[in-house]
Amino acid sequence: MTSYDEDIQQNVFHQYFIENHPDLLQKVLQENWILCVPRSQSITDPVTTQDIFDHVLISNSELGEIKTLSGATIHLENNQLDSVRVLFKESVYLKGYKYLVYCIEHPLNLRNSECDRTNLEIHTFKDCVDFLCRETTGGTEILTKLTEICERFLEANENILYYTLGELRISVRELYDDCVLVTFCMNNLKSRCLRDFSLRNKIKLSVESIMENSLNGNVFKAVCTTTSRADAEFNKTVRNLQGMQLKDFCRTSVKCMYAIGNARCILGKLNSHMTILGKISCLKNTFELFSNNSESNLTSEDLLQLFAFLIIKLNINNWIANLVYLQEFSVSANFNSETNFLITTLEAAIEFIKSRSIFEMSCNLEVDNDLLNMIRVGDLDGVAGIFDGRKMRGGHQLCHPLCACDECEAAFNLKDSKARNCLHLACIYGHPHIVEFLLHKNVVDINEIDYSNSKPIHYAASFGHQNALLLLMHNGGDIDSPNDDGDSPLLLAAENGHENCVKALLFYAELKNTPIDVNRRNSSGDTALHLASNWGFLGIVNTLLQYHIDATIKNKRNQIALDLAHNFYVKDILLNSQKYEKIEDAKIVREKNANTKNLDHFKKTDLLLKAIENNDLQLCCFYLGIANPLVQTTTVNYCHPLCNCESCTELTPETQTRKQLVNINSTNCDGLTALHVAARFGRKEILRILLDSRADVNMVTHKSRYTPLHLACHQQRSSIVLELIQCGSCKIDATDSRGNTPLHSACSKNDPKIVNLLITQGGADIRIKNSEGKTALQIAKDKNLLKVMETIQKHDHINSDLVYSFET
Amino acid sequence: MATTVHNFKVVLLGKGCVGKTSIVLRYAEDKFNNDHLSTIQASFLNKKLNIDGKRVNLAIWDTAGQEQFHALGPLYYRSSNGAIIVYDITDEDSLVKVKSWVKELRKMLGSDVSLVIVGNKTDLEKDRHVNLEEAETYASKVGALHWQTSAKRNEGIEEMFLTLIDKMLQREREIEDLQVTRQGSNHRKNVVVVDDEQVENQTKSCCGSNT
Ligand SMILES: Nc1nc2c(ncn2[C@@H]2O[C@H](COP(=O)(O)OP(=O)(O)O)[C@@H](O)[C@H]2O)c(=O)[nH]1
Ligand SMILES: [Mg+2]
Repeated sequence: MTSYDEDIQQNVFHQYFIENHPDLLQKVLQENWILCVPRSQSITDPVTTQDIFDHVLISNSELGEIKTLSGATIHLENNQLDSVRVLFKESVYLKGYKYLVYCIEHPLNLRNSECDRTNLEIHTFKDCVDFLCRETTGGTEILTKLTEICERFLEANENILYYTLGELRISVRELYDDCVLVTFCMNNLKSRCLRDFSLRNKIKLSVESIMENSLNGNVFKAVCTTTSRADAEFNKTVRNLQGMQLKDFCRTSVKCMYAIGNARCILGKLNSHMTILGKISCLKNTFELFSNNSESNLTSEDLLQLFAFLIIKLNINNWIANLVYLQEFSVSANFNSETNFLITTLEAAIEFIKSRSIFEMSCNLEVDNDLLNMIRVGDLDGVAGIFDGRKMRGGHQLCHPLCACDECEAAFNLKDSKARNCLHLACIYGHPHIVEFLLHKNVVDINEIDYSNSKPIHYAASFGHQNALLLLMHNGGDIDSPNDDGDSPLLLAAENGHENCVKALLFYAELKNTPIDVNRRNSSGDTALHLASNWGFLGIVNTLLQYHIDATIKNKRNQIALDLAHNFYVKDILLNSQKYEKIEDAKIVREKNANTKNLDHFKKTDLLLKAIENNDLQLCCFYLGIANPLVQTTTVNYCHPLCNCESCTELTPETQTRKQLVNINSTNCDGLTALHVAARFGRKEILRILLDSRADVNMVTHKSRYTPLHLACHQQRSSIVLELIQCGSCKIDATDSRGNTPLHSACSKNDPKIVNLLITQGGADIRIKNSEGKTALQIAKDKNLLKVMETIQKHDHINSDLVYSFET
Repeated sequence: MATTVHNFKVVLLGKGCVGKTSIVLRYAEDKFNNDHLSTIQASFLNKKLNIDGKRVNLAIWDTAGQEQFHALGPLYYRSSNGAIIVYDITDEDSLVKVKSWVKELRKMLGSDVSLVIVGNKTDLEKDRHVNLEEAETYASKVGALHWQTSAKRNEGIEEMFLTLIDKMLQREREIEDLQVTRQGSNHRKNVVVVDDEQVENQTKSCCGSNT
């Protein structure tokens, strides 16, 4: 967003005033009058003394009215002088005196219709389009050009979703420079922009917005991929704060109570905007709504808390991605300082939610009873004291330790305002020792329901207290009952991101042969898979799929889980799971009694590949049955190779011998091996281990026939390229399905460093032509990649000599 | 030709209730204005000034002072050109807080940031608990200006901002000089034609930078 700006000293109206009315200037200085200065482009006729008199404002504070020096009464409200907008105010200091200037849209004595006020400022995407068309040719030619550039960019960067943030930033920056260059070539814009800063800023912002729009959200999607982990983690925090009420943000809530609903609507549309400009206007409108609806001034604290509240309550699952996008991808970088303040407030609100302080606010549930309070703070001795018949502070004394008369019953069967008993609370606050004590004493019903039909186990799952959950399950807690919202413990754990609880529930059910409905739907029709996908909880999605949850179930809005996934990795898994199903179907047709061994094998391979992608060295070694060179001892457990939870230690006999779960050269359904993935993601340590363990370096993928070296070149990972070359057995000139060698790839990526490595270290053959008949050098020439051309030619010289001498 | 605009970001820091918000509100006020100035004026204020022909654009950020928001400080003060650190002359502890802010700012922003330490609520002189001389000595020791204000009576506030602006302008010139001598003649060479952003950022501090 840009705001109007001009240099008042250069304004003809102001200059006329200074030069011709020194005595009036003195008066203005002394009396604190205000001078209105029409924006320079709105001044058409020569300025007269009468004009000046019409534009000096005198305030009569007793009457609360404003008059001009020529006597007209004028109304100032909402930054409008009658109907003329005040664009900005400037305090001018002159020889120790000060006067105030209001720069206004057009002269006060001019009627509205007479003045051209197109594109004073840019606020919306439409402003950008109008402005750019008008300033270039008047037609839409510029739009076509920019769109073409962006389309070419997307073609050249088909792997954009795999880019790191750094790669993404650089390539977007380059694209933006191209776009600006093209625009500046039109209609002499470049030299005009050099003279006029505000024109230049508006052009840049417009170009940026049109570029972002033409990219069709692809850059934002790529950002979402890079932040998916951070987002999932943040979502988990947010999910677990759902109990917070507006009143927890006490002071502010009163002020803006009524605006909250509307603010939710406005800010909730954040993800429907693809341009940074659009996202920012979303923020800005939210803020304006709050400040227009509050009786007193909104302070930074107020804004921060209102925002934190909105973040918690909105169904937006990629806050971090949005923040990173706003902060790092506004390439034209000319937002005004107010915009920066808005973005910082968003960031502060996110940080505030992440911090413990907000968590403490949410824990301050009112409990006005000794016993319940002890449970809240986890005071086992206190609780035990009461149940063992000692005196309650200021309260009732049990008749004898085992007494069950009505009075005694009531004393420890206390409930809070939502009808939750001791066990419910112990599960909410997560004190396993108290849960254990209560279960042991057998004083409460393990499956007692509160007003929302929730049992203790619902709370344990929902708050992620695995220990409490396990205790409840082992003692006959009901693992699969729905509460009033139709949520079972599994659904609650999945929604709140508690992978450990999801696993505990599923494993326990499997182990004990207790029926559990994995496909259960809550009152919105969502399955656990829907919820986990929506919030980006990758691990849970994986686990659920392993337990054969049906990914084709639709919720009440007719969406399957895939429709809710915003994050690349989750989408990928869900899509792949569909692939498995297809493979599975095919198998069944072929051999009736098909075992799913092959399918199982794919799944295991995928787990391995995922571990590599996540750079999880330990897990990777575990799957491959290789001793981890970094860690000496790892205990192998049941629910997750690295899990240490109680159930696992209980369930699994200690296995110390390492078993290979996945063959080092096994492929997934696309033909990717572990080495491919390590090369693509630049996991150097893992790559070394794979090479040391004799992984085959020359395996190719099914469709594109890429070797790991191809992928390393694609992703411009020079250190990986070097490792691969140095391993000895790597085929340096392997061709992919389009006849490209790694050298071709490195050239088209414009990476002279890798090109040099391939030629000097690997001895790559620079004469090989791809299926289009082009050598690497020709590719570089086509794209005008000077550095790369230079690098190749340096060696071409030597090589061609050799060739000739050999041939003659 | 357009004159350069000096863009300065100024942040207000200090213990809760010392009067930061009141100072910003006072500065935002002009006597013609009896309704809402701009939308979020109590937390953020944009002020344009023209000081003997120099165009200055101040972005003034008020911060949340309560203890629970302390950790968020760096988000607000990063890339500031000036900081106004406020204490309450009737509250000894608020000066202690000033000292810890100064330490933090110097650590995070170095000497590029211009500091002014402000003793507010001078209308409550009779309840003074902070020794003026001690505060002034401390300020000069850490290279900060010292100023006294009363947001209630609107005393000293405008002057305080003007002195701070003066100091920031001076600091800006020093930084520029340093860059010129350091980079010498090869400075011009690496300028890319497409986008004069880089050149601009070097010569002008930009309160809007995101990094
Ligand atoms: N007497 C007096 N009170 C002041 C002055 N400045 C602020 N206050 C009061 O101090 C309290 C806190 O002010 P506020 O601006 O909210 O402080 P902040 O927390 O630092 O933003 C309010 O009740 C103000 O009215 C002052 O100069 N003199
Ligand atoms: Mg305040």
